[in-house]
Amino acid sequence: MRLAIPLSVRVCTALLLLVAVASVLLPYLSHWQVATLDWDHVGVSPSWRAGHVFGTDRLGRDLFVRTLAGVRVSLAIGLLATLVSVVIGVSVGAVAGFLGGRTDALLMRLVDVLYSLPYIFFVILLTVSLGRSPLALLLAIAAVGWLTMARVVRAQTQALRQREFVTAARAMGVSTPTILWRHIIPNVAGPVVVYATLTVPSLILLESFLSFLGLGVQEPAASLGNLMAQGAAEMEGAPWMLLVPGSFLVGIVLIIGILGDALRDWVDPRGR
Amino acid sequence: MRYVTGWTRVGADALLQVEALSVELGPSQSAVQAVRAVSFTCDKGDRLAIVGESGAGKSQLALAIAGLSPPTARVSGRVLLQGQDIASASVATRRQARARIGMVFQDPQSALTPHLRIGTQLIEALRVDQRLTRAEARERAELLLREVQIPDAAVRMAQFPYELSGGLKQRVLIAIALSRQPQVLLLDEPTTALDVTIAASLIQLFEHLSATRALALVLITHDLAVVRRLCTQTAVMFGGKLVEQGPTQQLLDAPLHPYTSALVAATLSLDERSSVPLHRPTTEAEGSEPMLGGCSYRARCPHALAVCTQEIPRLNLRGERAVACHALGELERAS
Repeated sequence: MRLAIPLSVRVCTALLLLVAVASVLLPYLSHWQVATLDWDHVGVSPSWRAGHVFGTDRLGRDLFVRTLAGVRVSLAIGLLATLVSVVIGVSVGAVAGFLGGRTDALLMRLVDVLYSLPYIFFVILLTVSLGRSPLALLLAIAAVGWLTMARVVRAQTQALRQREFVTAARAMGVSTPTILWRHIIPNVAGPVVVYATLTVPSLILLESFLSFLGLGVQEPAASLGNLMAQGAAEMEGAPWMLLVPGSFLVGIVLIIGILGDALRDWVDPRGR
Repeated sequence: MRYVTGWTRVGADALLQVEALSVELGPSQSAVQAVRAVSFTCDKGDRLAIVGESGAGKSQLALAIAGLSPPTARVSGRVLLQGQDIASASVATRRQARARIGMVFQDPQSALTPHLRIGTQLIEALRVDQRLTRAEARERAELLLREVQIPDAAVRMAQFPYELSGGLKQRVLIAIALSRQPQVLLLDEPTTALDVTIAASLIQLFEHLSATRALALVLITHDLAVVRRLCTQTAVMFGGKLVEQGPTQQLLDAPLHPYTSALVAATLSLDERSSVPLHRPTTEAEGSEPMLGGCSYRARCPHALAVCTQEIPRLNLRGERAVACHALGELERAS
């Protein structure tokens, strides 16, 4: 029935799952904790003998544990914020694009207004007013993440609305919400998946940026963002502090990109 | 088919009655009159063809009858289904009325939702306003597929549109159109996208359905061979208006309106090719200046008179036929 799952997808799914599971489990199983200090090994480079495979930072905290904890936070915030922005973006975009007229004008002006707000200022305002909790960070990121998604979905819906199968569904007597849910939204799944996979890394980057500014994940908790910020500060003396979280970020972004591309081929029945 | 001339109604109990139906598209400053005051009636068992060139307003007419005109279109006039006006009815009434008008579209490729299985789409149509359990709907869906002569109905139900040939897809669409027991079947160029052998078998299917289900068929096409084969009545459309209507045989054998003559002459069969010069109807682009007032065909008409530029011709009855042409008297005298 369905096409065999291509090798690249299997490899990428396996890698992503491995990193995700490891990031959830290992910080608890490991000898070191995210915030424990090892006074005997402060600022050591990666070595097996010292028991710190990725080395330690300036305070003697194990970078392997901290990186995995950071991956967990970054992945969770990136994925959740993307999920929230997909839900909002798809609903707004599909309704605006399908109904058109006044509803469309109203919703799209809302998007325009949110777009024209100074983006970083808006996020900073939200995190400050909602407090520096991970939930506030998530909300702040999702609040700006759905805008482009709404535009993408609206454009797709406007094109789909002209297609004959929508007229055929109306001729069958199918109601507007059902047409949207069953005939339109599954057909925008391809572009949504592709755009969502672009959104995940960009939202992970946004999270890192906010963490770097001190508005995101707070010390001693770790995210890829604040780990890289620390690493950047020490890159001359301790390059591994930048390279380790950096390569994890690059790897994760790349894997999600490949997955999204393969997923699009898989979702779109016309490509088969 | 009985005629409606101007605003006078004949046969108030007819199954489908279209009265002065007009469709205007585009912004009001530069509106296009796609359909202009078209009237006709069509009764149970009637098979009516609406022919005309591309851009004559055939499809817009069909969409307007089914209540599916694009939201920006301005539709006026009345569409009576067993005496009930459905064109100006509320949204809910119109949705109900759509159950009684089935519609089959030109391109089976794009009229099926690509990501849903055939069975799913049929069951959806069946369950829209009929209280059926899933199992009942499935059973009915298989019966419908058998009625439109699809072999291995059960297997087809589980397939996706892309796994079916064009002819099968069109049959599925016919099954969907039949799912709510319509009384009128609107066929918008149902065979145009298919090859001749498939088209021929579909025409047999339409004949069979109109006989067994006592449907009124309205066939929109530009294939006169199909019209001759299937339809008892024919209406010719030009520039959004009906210019000639009548029994198919009479109308195609002895066309009265100059446009009908041109249309018939343009589809000469092979054995007649040698002697008769091909009288090609000029394409729409060649005579496309706005024809406000007067006959819209006058720029291309070989028999145009002075009056053709001033007055819109009315439908004149000629026996069982009706023709809208100022030069009708002269044409009759000449022949």
